[in-house]
Amino acid sequence: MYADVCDCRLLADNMAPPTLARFLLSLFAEPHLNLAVRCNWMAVIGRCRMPLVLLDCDKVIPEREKHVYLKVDGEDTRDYLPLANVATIPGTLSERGCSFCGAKLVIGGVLKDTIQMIHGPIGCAYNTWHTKRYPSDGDNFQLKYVMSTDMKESNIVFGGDKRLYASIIEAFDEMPHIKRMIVYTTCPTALIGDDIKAVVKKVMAERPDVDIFTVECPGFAGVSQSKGHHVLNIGWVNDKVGQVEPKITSKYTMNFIGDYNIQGDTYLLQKYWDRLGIQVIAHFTGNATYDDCRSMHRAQVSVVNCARSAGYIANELMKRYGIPRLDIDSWGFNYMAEGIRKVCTFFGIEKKGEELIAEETAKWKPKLDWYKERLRGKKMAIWTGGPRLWHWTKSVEDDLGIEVVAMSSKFGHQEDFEKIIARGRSGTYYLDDANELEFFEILEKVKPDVIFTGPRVGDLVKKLHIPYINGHGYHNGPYMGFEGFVNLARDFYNATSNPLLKLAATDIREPEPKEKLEAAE
Amino acid sequence: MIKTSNEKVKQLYDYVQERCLWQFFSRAWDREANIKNITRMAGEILTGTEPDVKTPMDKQFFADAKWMVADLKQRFDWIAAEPPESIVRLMSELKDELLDLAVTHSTNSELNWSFY
Repeated sequence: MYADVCDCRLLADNMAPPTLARFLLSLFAEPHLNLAVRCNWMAVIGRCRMPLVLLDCDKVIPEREKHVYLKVDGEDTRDYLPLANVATIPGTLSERGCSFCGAKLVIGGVLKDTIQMIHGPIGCAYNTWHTKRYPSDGDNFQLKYVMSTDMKESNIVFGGDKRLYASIIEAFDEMPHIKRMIVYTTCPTALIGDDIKAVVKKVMAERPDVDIFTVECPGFAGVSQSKGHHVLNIGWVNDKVGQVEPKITSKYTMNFIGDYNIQGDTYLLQKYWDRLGIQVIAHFTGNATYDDCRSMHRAQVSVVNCARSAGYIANELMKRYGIPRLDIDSWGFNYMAEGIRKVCTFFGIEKKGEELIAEETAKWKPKLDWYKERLRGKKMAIWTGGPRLWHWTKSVEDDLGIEVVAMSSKFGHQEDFEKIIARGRSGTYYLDDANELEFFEILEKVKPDVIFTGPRVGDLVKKLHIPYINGHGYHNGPYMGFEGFVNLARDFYNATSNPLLKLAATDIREPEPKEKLEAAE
Repeated sequence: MIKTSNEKVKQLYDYVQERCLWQFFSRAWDREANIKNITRMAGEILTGTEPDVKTPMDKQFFADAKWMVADLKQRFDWIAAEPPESIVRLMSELKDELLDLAVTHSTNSELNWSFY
């Protein structure tokens, strides 16, 4: 009657809850099964079903159940792993960005000496410009400017190649000191088949002093911005890595991958590497130049922070050039110390590392502890892209005594959920590609003191008088490193101590006079 | 769920779950390499054998193993008193548990994709 345990899992996974309940009862009614077999099946089925949550708001889109997970003791990701990096279910209003955005806004647009040429309608350029605060020491060129071919109907009908060519020439002529460019396709220019590689080849033949990288990743290329990370990573290692030989200034060289200088993260970490005497060949891509990233093949090790957006290039550097990949957490006091120790062990400079950690700890730990005393027991929700969930959940718990009660990822893959669930607490909700109604329902369940998320969701929760902190671009960063985690703690403390949101919830209007109300009736 | 009934392996396993990103790299091949080599080197360090660190990859495994061992010693008093043969057995069991979780029975549908 019941073939085996695997069938049971499959069966249970596809059963509606009432059917499952009947099935469970039938196991006990089955006369030829012994108790051990029944218990085994019950346990397997229980594991299959227990962590899944069908929220009330999702009853009309029950497929969402496979994306909402509640961790319980004794479970792990062999039993259940939320679906992730799959197409958004029709009927849910996703918070995701598009694949083009993942390439441009997250990675390519950070480069400080590179013209960003968006081949598409003007909105694609505007909506991926200036919304993330990644400064540079290059006069913030990358924050000030973005170029668009501003495609109009006639260009879509007759083709945009000539317009792209003219735009590239115009941009280089307008900015003669800039010799590097990234050209991105967008949905319409990909659909009409504009050959951007041919246009770029022509320009580079005419102007040997310029170098241009093409990213053919329209918004529809994948299910979220994650696809854009992927396309840019692989395209870059295929087309550009290995073309420039860096000037080597230290015995110790590394790439620092997956850090985008959000509010100065890269500046802060660079001070550590300078003190340790380690030359960073390329930051991928915080405060980096285009040519820095063409010379990544010369590093001795790739130290990886954001494995989601840039693990691909770290793996490719390992496969193609034999450069090992060392993953660390740069957020969190304890994690940062561990990361520095590992990097220093790689280079055999442990003593220097310990000196650095001792100095930073002496300077910042008292401040961190001041906040920890005041934040212990506070509840936090993390609703960001993906990796910050696993970077932050244990670090805020260990370093600040904060309890993370809900985590939502926009574009994480199942790999990210493996890390998140391994590190996260039991009783915490884990959501993939959550929508606004789900957010509201989860808030009712977990009642966080603060939410780390983006400005769009942040504005929603502000209306509920729950403070939010910008988990993408930060409120007052940097947040990486020792100093950075004190900044995060300070923002958390300020958000939860500020009486403004509670005051804003108080209705101070005079009650309507009784006679006026009666007249209205 | 972890299969072993050995309480010491459970403690080591829980530590790795909480701290170690190397168990969850992108694909089966790199997870397997990390888990096998880092647990092997950790065992060698704990038993007083100097790991053979020749290649750049060895250096990466060693960096991860060294600081895992330092943490384990700090967290678990019993580890210092453990005889070498027991350490080898514990690390081998830990390796098997981690491979089972992160590779063999992982439900991550991307684990064996040849393309990224």
